[in-house]
Amino acid sequence: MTPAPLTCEAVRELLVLYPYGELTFDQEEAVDTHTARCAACAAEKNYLENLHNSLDEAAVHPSMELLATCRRDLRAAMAADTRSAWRRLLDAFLPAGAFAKPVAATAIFLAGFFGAKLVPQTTPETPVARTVRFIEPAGDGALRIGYDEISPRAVEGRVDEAAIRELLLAASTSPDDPALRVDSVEALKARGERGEVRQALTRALESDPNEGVRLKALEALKPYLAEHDVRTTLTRVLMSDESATVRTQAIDLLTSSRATQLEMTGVLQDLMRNEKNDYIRERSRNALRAVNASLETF
Amino acid sequence: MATADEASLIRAAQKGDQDAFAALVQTHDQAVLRIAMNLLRSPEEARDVYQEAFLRVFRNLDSFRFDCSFTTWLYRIVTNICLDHLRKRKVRREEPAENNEYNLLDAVEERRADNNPQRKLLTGELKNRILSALGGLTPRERIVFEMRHYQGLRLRAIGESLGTTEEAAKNCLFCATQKMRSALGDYA
Repeated sequence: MTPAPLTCEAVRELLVLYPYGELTFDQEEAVDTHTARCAACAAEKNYLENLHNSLDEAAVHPSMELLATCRRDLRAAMAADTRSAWRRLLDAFLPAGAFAKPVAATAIFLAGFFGAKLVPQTTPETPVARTVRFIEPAGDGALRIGYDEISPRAVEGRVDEAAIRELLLAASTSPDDPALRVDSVEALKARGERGEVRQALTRALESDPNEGVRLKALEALKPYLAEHDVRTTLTRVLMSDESATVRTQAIDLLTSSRATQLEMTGVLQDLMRNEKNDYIRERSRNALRAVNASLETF
Repeated sequence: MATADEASLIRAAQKGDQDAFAALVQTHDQAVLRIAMNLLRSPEEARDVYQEAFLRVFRNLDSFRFDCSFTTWLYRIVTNICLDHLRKRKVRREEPAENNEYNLLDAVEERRADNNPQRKLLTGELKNRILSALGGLTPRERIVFEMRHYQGLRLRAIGESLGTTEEAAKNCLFCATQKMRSALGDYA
């Protein structure tokens, strides 16, 4: 049986949910049928679609720097929280006295899991992270326990120092934490003239899975556009990066001087032929015109 | 419900596995920060929300019994903290003026920037009206709108996160949309 047609009032209510995919199949059908013959409701549907698009553009995307700051704050807060929790526990169960220190040491051992990842700084109270690998009998009722021990450390220094750079280069490929990679790229950019640093930056630009890290690496490489390896990497990124933002910034940089515009002529003509992104096509067109090059190849 | 991988992570974190807890944080913290930023439009307050939310998770993970998804549980914590912030603003009558808000809508203007002054004027006006319209929503409406429009959560999940029904969440979304509609008028 065909359901009764909806009134305009009912359709207006459903239209609010329509763009969110929250209607049933039948409700969507009913809305589509109604708006096909009701100009006022069709206009309302169109209006709400435009409203959605406008609101989409108002979305805020927190920066990677803010995320990194939040993670640092959290680590510090958790370390403090852990220490105060153990202190409360010890205060509750132990009288102050000769046994306090050994028991506190045991407590710190038990609390060791907070050590490595979430507590980056070493203080006299900082526990050591231990991961038990095996437990086996050692005879006479004793046990033999194998474990790995990670002791968190902090080191201070400038990026000019080899030891600091080494840590930063290692952090720039840290697989689990894009915020750490952003921080390391940001710190390394001051020494982009060094081969190993620029290599790390171009690798981050070309291969990092996180768009924020790639953008940060691209920014760090801006002063080194004169270097052939940088231009080559930027060109590959322009042609293949999945992010329109990264590609847009790549073409902005690559067409920022006449010398690079001339060098890029072939690539730009290729983009004029195949590129779908309007902005990139426009930039390509402008750059080709600036050097009096043909807009296409023949 | 939590996925198999996530359930393993949660169980490991409940037993004190630091890597598992760090992995849980890293899986969800960008979304948590995005929610807080979109709702509060203030990096300082978003930082506070982020920290308070994950500290609550850290302290109460033992009480998580898998009777809802971890995301729902986490978002319930986050939305409660954000609601507190929004309500405090209302009480103090300190809803930030447009000038004080973290105005990423400027980025919208930049992206759209062209040489058409009339277009720029309209974009700027739209930006102001969107901010004003968001400020005009009740804290609850703002949260439902944020979770549905920007986070893409289903109304049922939003209802669960807020400790209410899908129908109530739907009504909030309806009211929020109507308010946005009347505030934005022909600018949308």
